[in-house]
This record gives sequence, structure tokens and C-alpha cells, in this order.
Amino acid sequence: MLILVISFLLLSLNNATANLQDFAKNSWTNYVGDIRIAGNLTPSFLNALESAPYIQSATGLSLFYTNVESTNGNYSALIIYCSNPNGLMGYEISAGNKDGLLLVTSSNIKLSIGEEIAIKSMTSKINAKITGYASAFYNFGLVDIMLIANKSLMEGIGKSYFDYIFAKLNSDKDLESKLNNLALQSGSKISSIIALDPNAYPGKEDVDAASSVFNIFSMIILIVIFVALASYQFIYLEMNEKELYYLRAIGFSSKSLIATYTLPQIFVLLVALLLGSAVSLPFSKFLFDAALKSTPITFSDVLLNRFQFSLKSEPLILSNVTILATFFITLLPVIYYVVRKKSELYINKAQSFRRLGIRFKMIFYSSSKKVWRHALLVIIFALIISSTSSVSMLIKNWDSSVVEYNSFYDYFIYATGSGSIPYIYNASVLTATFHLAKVNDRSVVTASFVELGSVAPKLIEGRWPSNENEAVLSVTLSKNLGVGINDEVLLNTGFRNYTLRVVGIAFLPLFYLYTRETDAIVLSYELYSKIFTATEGYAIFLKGNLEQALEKLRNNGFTTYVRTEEDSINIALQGGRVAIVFLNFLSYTLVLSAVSLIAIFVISELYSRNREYAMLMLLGYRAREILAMLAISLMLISLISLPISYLISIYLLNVFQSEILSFTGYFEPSPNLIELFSNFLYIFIPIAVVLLFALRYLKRLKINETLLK
Amino acid sequence: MIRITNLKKSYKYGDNRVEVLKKVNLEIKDNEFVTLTGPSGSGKTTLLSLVAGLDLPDEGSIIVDGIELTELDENSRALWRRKSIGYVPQFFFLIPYLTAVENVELMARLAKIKDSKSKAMECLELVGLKDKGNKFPHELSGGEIQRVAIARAIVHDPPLIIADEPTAFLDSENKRNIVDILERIWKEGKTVLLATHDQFLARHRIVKILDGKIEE
Repeated sequence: MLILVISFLLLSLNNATANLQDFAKNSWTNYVGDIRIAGNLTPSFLNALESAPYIQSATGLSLFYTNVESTNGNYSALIIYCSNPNGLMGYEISAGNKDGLLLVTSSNIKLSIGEEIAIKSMTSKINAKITGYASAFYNFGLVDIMLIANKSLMEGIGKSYFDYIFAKLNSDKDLESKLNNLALQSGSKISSIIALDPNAYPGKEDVDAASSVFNIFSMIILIVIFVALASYQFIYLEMNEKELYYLRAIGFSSKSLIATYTLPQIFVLLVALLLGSAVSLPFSKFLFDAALKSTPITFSDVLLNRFQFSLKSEPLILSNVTILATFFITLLPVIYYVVRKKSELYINKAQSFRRLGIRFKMIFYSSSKKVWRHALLVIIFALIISSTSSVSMLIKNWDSSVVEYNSFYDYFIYATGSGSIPYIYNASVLTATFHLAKVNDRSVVTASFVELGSVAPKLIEGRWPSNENEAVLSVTLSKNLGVGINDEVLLNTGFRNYTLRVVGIAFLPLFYLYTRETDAIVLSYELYSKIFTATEGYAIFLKGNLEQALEKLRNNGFTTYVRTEEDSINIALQGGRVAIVFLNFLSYTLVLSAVSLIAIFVISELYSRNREYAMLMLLGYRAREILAMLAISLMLISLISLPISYLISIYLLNVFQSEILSFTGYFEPSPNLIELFSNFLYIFIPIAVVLLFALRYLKRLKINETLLK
Repeated sequence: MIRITNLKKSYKYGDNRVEVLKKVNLEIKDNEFVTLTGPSGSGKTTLLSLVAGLDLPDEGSIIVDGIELTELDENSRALWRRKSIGYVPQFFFLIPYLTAVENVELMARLAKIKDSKSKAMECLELVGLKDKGNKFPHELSGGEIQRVAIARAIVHDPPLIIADEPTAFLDSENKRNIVDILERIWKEGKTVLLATHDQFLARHRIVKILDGKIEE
């Protein structure tokens, strides 16, 4: 049963992670392509690209930020025209048709099919109808609703060119010059060409972090299963010691004895692995779906539908081979024991052992065969308690740190529009792009202050950049890269490199959703506008009068999306949920393993010492007095494990912190003794249940029958 | 001291119920040495285990020093046993990881005897094992193990000593030695109940048990 559960769990997690990484990476690459060209791009430029030999496929996107009026209210909106719905950056119609506008299903506001809306176009107001729903993966800023328009509707709005062209390449040789020539010929103006990093897909940090954490816990689970299996083998031998003796006495050879004892176990193991593998497929799909749902970037159906979830061969083979190897290692003592010809209890004859007290010896049953098991139990207890405590410490620390680095503002406003951003009192205005550049080969959010006001992210050290050669790093990025003030970093945008000096380090909750600390760099506005000429929108951090700020923005033709500090914190908390899904799941598994180990230990003690217990009861010991010895033994082992647990939890927390730094952002979890102790107590509840069963066994022990066996 | 009235005891083996003791009546006075003889399977061990409070009869009564054992629960019988009985089993069973003196001391501690260690050494000396206190059971011979078991049975000064086939796996010289020791203990004022299938070891009052019935 244990093997079945472990193989099922290990394989489910391995398979879910493998599928997650596969999905995120391949779907992203296949969806967005290799490059993004920004500028005023004509349809003839797109046609020329599509027929160019170095381009595999290309899709043009026109974007129009506006306000829309519906019967339910006024909303900020992004209207998108996609030249090739079935290609790169495409969409899938989930309901209705594309005669009118398609509402992208990930929008915050839901409008009904058939609903009429008024769009504020470039020149006037246009009425249009929602004729369907579509799923797409568009991350072009924060708006209330995203709408997909057909070509004629977009032309009616006044847009006849593309803002972006996404392309998949056959070759990138002399790409920039080729594209610039093509643009010139077709009357287009290119403002930037960005190479899209296939490793910078949204949700990558979540997936990588979950995988890293999973790997650590896999090791722990394997150690636990090793000890559990090894203990099981010894109990099995102890229970069958007499039978072994008789079989040998009547002429069984060592080979046949080994076969007798191992073949049934091997058969059971293979069946368990087969069943575990079969059951793991639906469960790993469940984990996969749960992990995707908990990422802050909602992976759209259009990506999910293009992905085939499957039982991957690599995790299948790896998990099963690992369990098989673990099992065969634990079979070695069985083989040794059987081959050894005589079974006798080895008693440590050393003088020092003789001097140990009666109580100590009775509690710890100090034959050398058992001491190693006590020692291993200490280590396993330590690992389990520290792992579960680390999880709860991590979660608690993560929650409090998210609150801290989002506390500098009251409101977050995302504003989109073509004009100049007006001055907003008691606010800072930033512009940022998501993962279109790298710093020292690490994919980053790149940002710049358009207006640095009194309300700004918290500078830990140094100052904000004042020229093109300077940059401020987020705390997360500086920790990940191991760089500090006055160090140099290399900013790479796919085609250009920039060497920058670090002049400051700050808490930068500038993830795309502007809620959590992550790998981010703040540049001077001069440099930023050279690299990313098209500004998708402005992030405004405001403290104070929201209505005044919104009025000013709207009067200047901006559409606005508002979120409170509390909403931002909730989103950031949700952002850690991918790893927390896995972490909680794995910590429950470890608690289950601890309980199984304890049960195995107690059963082993009861069976191996049942004659001794019967003797003690014959002398006048009561069942509960014998149970007390067993409980003290367990308790002492647990107490001894406590300081070891504390030390291991410090190590594990550091490992976890560095592993999940990239997605949760920087925070400083510290080992908490109260947390450790409370998890320690938490495991005592199942221990108490196991001991109650042990008491029942002792009370029902037939003294004479047991002694005469 | 011991009054057994209409004692019945049966055991279930698979689908069959076997009556081991069939309406046994027996009275043993204080400071008697009673040898219970009979072939294997006659019910000697069952009778002794009922007298020691290790099990309860199906019917009947067992009164030892005024205490009706059938009315005591398991815990009470255990408490009574540690004060009132010294039990010498037929198999060699000492706690294997405790030395000889520790095995004896264990009983003394259980009965809350003061100076348990010196008392244990005294008892070992009484059975002729003064120099073997520090040995583990696997370092002792069969006869020595049984002598340690006897020392353990007397260390807490119980009024009743029950010895269930203590000589079963010993050679003839050791058999005699063990019974001699039991006789010495009896002469000091104890009541001794010895079970043996060996007629030559029977001493003093001999009670025969055959097919679960007493024949005196």
C-alpha cells in the first residue's frame, strides 16, 4: 500500500511538473513566436514578411486603447485586431461569431452576447455589438475589458496599420537590416525589434520554483520511503525468523530462501508501480490544472487547447526506476540475513553497555540491531518536522513580506492613452515592459520613471538612475545576480547590449500585474525610451485623492484601470500559490509518511518484543506501564530530533528561499521555534492514535500463549 | 491459603473447543510444598496460570489469601501478582539485554523494594550465582538461567512461589539442583507450587492431574 501511494504521488508530481514546463515553454514559444516588431507597420509590410524566406509565419496586431460605454457602465478597453486568428498570437472563438466584437473571456468585466456598446474612436463614437466570446493570451496592459474586432470594424475605428508584428523565424541572419529594408519599401516605421526569449514565458518562475521545491521534497520522500521499506524488511524478518530457521533445517538452500522471501515482495512492488502509474495520470492532470489556475497569469484556453497533456516517459521511467532502486537496496539486508546461516541476537558485550541503566535499556532496547533504527528515526523525524515547519514558515513570511513591499501606495492606476501623461499629485508614474530584456542573461521586467513623485517604491540603498548608464535593481534581482551598488550589469534586448552601473537597490513590485517583487530593473527614461519606443501604458502609484487623479487622466484622453493596495496584495499572495499548492500537498505527504513510520516502528516493537512484554506482564507489569515505555521511547526520539530539526529547517529554508526567489520575490524567512514546535505537536496526534492501538494489542496479549510460542 | 472450587477452563482451537480443566477442586495450606504432576497436556500449566492470575477461568473460584481472583480486573491482577507471586517459567526467559542481577533487580523495582540492587545480589548469592551477576543470559547455562529466574521470583519476598516445569529443559543434575533450591525456599516459610511431569522430582504433597481432573 505504501509503495502504491508513494509511486502514485511521486509520478503524479513529476508528471504534472513535466507537463507544466512543457506547456508553459512550448505553448509560449509556439504562440508568440521568435521576434516582436513594434512601430507603425503597414499591411503590405506584413504581406512582404509572410512571403520572406527567413520568416516562417507572421501575425500583425493592431491595438486601440479606449473607453467603452455599455448599459452597465463605462469601462477602459483594449480593442485588438489580429491578422491571423489561427496563427501566432491568435484566438479561439468559444461562443458566437466574429461578425461584431468578440469579448476575450479573461476580461475583468463580463458583457453578454448581443449587448450593444459605444466605442470612443479616434474621431467619434461608434456603436458595435458583442457577437461572441473568444479565448486569447494577450498581455498588453491592464484594462477592464479586451475586445477582438474584425478588420472592417478596426478600420471604422480609424486604425489601418499594425502596432506589432509577431513572427517565427527560419533564419535570423542580418535580420535587423533585412527588416528595416522591408519596412522602408512598404512605407512602415519600425520603432523596435525585440527577440522573444523562449525561456521567459509567463509563469516560468512559478513553474521553475515549483519544480525546485518539488525536487527537494522528492529527495525527502525517497529517504522516508527508504527507511520505511528497510524497517518493513526487518519486521518481516523478525516475524518470520522461526520459519526461516525451520526451512533451512529441512533443507532449503540460501537461493531458494532468498526467492521465497523476495519474490512475493517483488511481485507486489511491480503491481503497485503499475497501479500507481495508471492512477497517477488523472491525478497529475488535476495537479497540472490546479497549478495553472493558481498562477497570476491566467493561461488561456487558446494555449491549453493547443497543448496535449500526457503521461511523459521521462518522469514515468525516472519515478519507477528510483522506487525500484530504493526497494532493491532495502532488500540487501534481507539477502544478507537469509544467507548468514544463523540468526542470533547480538548483544553488545562492551563493558560500557553493561553499565547502562535498566530503564534506559528497556526503553531503547539497545541491541545493536535496533540502535541504527532509532538513529534513522531521529533523522527522519527531523527531516519531516523541519520540512513541514519550513512550509508553514515560508507561507507566513511570504504573506507578511508581500504586505510590506506593497505598502507605499493606496491606489494603483494603469492608464493607457496616446497623449502625454498629466502631472498627478502625490504619485509616481512608471512605464514597464514584461520580460522583453535580460540582465546578465536573466529575464527581467524593465521599467522607468516617467514622473518620480513622493510616492515611490522603497529604495533600500542608493538612489534612482539619473542618466543612461545607470540602473536600479530590485532586491530580488540583486540577490539572484549577487550584485550590489557600483557593480556593472549587462542589459540585453536580443539585438543590443547596454552596460549599466548599479546605483540603487529597491523593493520593486513591478511584476506585470504590479504586485510582487521580482527580477526588475529601473532605467533612466532616456534609455528606456530608446529601447522600448512604444509605451503600452503607465503604472501610477498614488497616495491620496483617487477621484481627482482619475478625472485628470480622463480629461487628457486616458483610459484607466484602478486597483487598491489591498487588491494588489491579494493578487500577490495568490502569486505564491503555485509553489504553495505543491508545498502543502507535499507536506501533507510527509506527515502521512511520518505517521506510517511511527506505525511501522510501533508494530515492529510490539512484534519483536511481544515475548518480552508477555514476560513483563507475567511479572506484574500492567499494559499501560509497558505502553508508557514505548511512548517514552517515541517521545525521546522526537525530542532528540527537535534541535536537529531546527538546524535542518534553517538549511531547508535557505534552500527554498534561493529556489523560489525568482517567483515569489525577495523575502527573509527565518526559522521560528514556535512554528517548529507546533508542527512537532501536530504529528503527536497521529502518534497518540497509533499508541491507542498498541494499548489495545497489549491488553489482548495472551501471556502464556505468547511465552510458549 | 489457596482454595480452588469447581474450576473450569476451555480453549478454542479453530472450530473446536477443548476443555482443559474440568471442575477442579483443590485446597493448599500456607507453607505447603505441593508438586503437581501429570503428563503433557493434562492441564498443569493452565491451572498454575489461573492461580497466578494470568488468565480467568470459565467457571469456578480461586481464592488466594482471601482474595477472589476472578473478581479482579486485569490491572488489579497484575498489581496483585507483583506483590504476592513469584513465578518461575518453564522456558528460559530472562530479558536478554539485561544482566543477571538486572533481571532480578527489575522484579525488586517493580515491587518497590528498597535497595533493590543489593537485594538482587543477595538473592543471586542464595541461588549460588554471586559471581555471575554481570553476565547476560546468553552467557549463562540453562541451569544458571533457571536459578536467576528463581532469584527473580523470591527477591520481593512473595508468600507464594509458582514454578511451572522449571526443570523441563535441564539435565538431571541441574534438575535436582533447582528442586533443592525450591525446597530451601519452602523451608524459609514460603508456599511452593511446583509443576513437573517428572515423577522423580516430585516432593512432599503430590497432586496428580490427568485430563483436566485432580487425583490425589
